[in-house]
Amino acid sequence: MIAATVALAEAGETEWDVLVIGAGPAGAAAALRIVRLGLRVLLVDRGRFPRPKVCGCCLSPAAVGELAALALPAECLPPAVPLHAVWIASRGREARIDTSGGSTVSREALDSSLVQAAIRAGVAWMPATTVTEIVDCRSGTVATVRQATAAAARLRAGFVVIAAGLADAIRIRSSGEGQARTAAGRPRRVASGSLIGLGATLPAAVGSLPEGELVMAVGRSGYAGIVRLEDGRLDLAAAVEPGAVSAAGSPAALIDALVSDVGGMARASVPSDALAAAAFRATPALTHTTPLTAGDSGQIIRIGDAAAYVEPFTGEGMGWALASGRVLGETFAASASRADFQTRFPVVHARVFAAHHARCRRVAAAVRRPWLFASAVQAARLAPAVAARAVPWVIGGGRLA
Amino acid sequence: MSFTILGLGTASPERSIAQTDAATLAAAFNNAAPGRERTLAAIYRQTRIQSRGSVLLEEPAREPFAQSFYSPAADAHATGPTTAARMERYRQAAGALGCSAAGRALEAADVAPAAVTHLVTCSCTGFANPGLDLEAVSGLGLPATVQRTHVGFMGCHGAFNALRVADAFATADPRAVVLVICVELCSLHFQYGPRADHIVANSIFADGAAAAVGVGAGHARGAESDHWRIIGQASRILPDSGEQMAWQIGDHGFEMSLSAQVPTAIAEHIAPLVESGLAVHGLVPADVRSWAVHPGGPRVLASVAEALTLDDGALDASHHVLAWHGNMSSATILFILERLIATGADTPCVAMAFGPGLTAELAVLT
Ligand SMILES: Cc1cc2nc3c(=O)[nH]c(=O)nc-3n(C[C@H](O)[C@H](O)[C@H](O)COP(=O)(O)OP(=O)(O)OC[C@H]3O[C@@H](n4cnc5c(N)ncnc54)[C@H](O)[C@@H]3O)c2cc1C
Repeated sequence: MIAATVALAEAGETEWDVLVIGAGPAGAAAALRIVRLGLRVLLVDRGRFPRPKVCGCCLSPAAVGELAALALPAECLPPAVPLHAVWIASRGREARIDTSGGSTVSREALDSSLVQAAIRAGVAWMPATTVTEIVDCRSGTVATVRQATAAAARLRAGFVVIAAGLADAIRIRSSGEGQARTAAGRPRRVASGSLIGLGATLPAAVGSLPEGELVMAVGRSGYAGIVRLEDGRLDLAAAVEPGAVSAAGSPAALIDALVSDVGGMARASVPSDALAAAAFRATPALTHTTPLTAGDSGQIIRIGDAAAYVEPFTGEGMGWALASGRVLGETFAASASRADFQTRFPVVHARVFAAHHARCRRVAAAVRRPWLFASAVQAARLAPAVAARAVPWVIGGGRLA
Repeated sequence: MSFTILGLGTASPERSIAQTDAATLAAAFNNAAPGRERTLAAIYRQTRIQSRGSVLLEEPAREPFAQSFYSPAADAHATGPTTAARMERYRQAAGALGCSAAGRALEAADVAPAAVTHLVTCSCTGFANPGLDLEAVSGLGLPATVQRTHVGFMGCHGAFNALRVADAFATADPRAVVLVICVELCSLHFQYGPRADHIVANSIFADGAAAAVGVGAGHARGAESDHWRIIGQASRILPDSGEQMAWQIGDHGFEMSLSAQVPTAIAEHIAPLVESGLAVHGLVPADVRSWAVHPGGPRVLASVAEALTLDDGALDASHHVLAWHGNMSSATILFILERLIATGADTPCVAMAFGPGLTAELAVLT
């Protein structure tokens, strides 16, 4: 377990330059980059690390590049395994496509490595700490935080970075003159028909899938990615229609049906009995956008999944999260003033992400039309060399500028 | 599934004992080695229980409490009454307590006893036959044709299993009106001696009964608004939990064994269970408006709150029932639901309880 480096009482007495909420790739990368600018950074997460997360655990080449750009010290390099093949499978058809440049790593290991690197660089770390509310004041922010056994406490920071992922439920209030008022509703815009995420890890002995190969199984109600982690466990992550879960009766039953339907390598990778025994986690609706800044003053910034997410099919979320942490750090460094930062950040962010999100949406839409998808699989099988060039998006898009 | 709860009722024994007095009493039964009474008192205090009901308490003469069932330990090997003697008390007291909870539930539901078609009784603290079910028939005036089922010895989550059976009846027969009665007389199983898990069990368990009356979606009253409905249940045997909690029949009462790992194991496994259980209904934890968590002990509540990152106050109803009634095993969750409904709590509500094995049961109510 990665122990806290600062106690709640002490954190409450400090004036932080930046409070980062959430220690996934977005938050940890942002904290690491900002602390290197010489600012005082506090990173909090409601979980204790290492912690699991519903994720396909595949780093796209772009994500691998983002990780390299973080220049992590050798002791903090995550134990990633290179990914050299992707099986794309849909209802009785499957194709094995060679890939390179991507890798696989468990979220327990990846996120812990990043947090450890952040701590070494001077970030103050407080796990098992949930932020419930942020009040936006004229000259800074006040966050209300809770730890299990302690009374609620307040933290003061110049900027707050919300990197709380899809489950972000933090209330934002603005304090104008006198009374604080609650910002209207949750500003998150969820796309209609959005899928939800399901995930589980299965014990090391399960299935025949070798290390370094990813199986993408596409079914009628969604798709699942299956990959062997560095410690031998099997990671299973799926995006499915929410209604399909209730129709099947349980996440395990739905994934079992999807895998059976697809057959082949997918079925060989995850036997039914292992699925029945697995503890499935679930996420809120996946596809959403939420304003990049919150409150009136622009001192509250969202990055990573908390700001926007499309779908996991292209395996880019962690790359996006790392890149949004980078963009934030770079914009901080380049800005002459608070106001300057506030005008720059949304522009730079949009420039980096708009095209990627749009392409991911197109791919996601294609996957929803199984006949189209099945013929793509067929084509890939007939001409794998062409497919390898034609579908680089299988694990991630191009470079994140 | 859809089981509409038309009414809930609860009943506590006539007398209860303050937790501080219970600690004093426990010292007389070898629970504390000489000179260690302070430690015992501290364990009792940490439960955050104020008082607990017991059918064994008698009209006090001088002290604030009196009981004659357990005699002070004569020596280090004292064990207290035999299981047969304990079961005899169960036979005498369980029916009346169960009937009084059931009577209240029928009244709250506005259902005549004669209209009940199915009876599901639930208890893990005693056995007798003829037992609870027949006493309920005669005590409440249920029809002699009522279809009886007993859910026995399952532990603190027994109410979930009983409600699952009730739902199955209600789904199979749209005319079914099901009465569920949980009765637990945990105070009959007080354990002598200094074994740590026995001391903890002695310090938290209590007596109580609770009942629910419900119908399925096909019943004329199934669509009535203003009622809470169980729309789903989920069950899980926690992996690698071995024998972290066990409930065994001994020669001197039923014996609880409890590992200190229980709260940690629950914390580790509860989030997937809740997320999967909710996903089936298109819900996520953030949608949940109220929580009913079986208060195995105060540490269980704290670990659930931490694992699910619940707001302060989210488990108030569970804490309240623990404080004023103790852990009444299977009856407890219905006390909590009754309190949530009475205090105007919103749905969706997630209810959960844990039992020997470790096992966890979950219900989603709207
Ligand atoms: C099914 C599925 C499969 C996926 N597969 C892949 C893949 O193969 N490759 C890939 O690159 N991406 C994948 N993704 C996407 C990827 O998981 C996310 O995009 C990525 O984790 C986002 O990182 P983040 O740092 O923004 O948020 P997260 O990693 O979600 O981190 C958020 C953190 O915030 C904390 N937090 C939340 N609320 C609070 C609070 N109130 N107070 C304190 N802390 C809080 C949480 O505990 C968490 O640690 C997948 C996603 C899903 C759903």
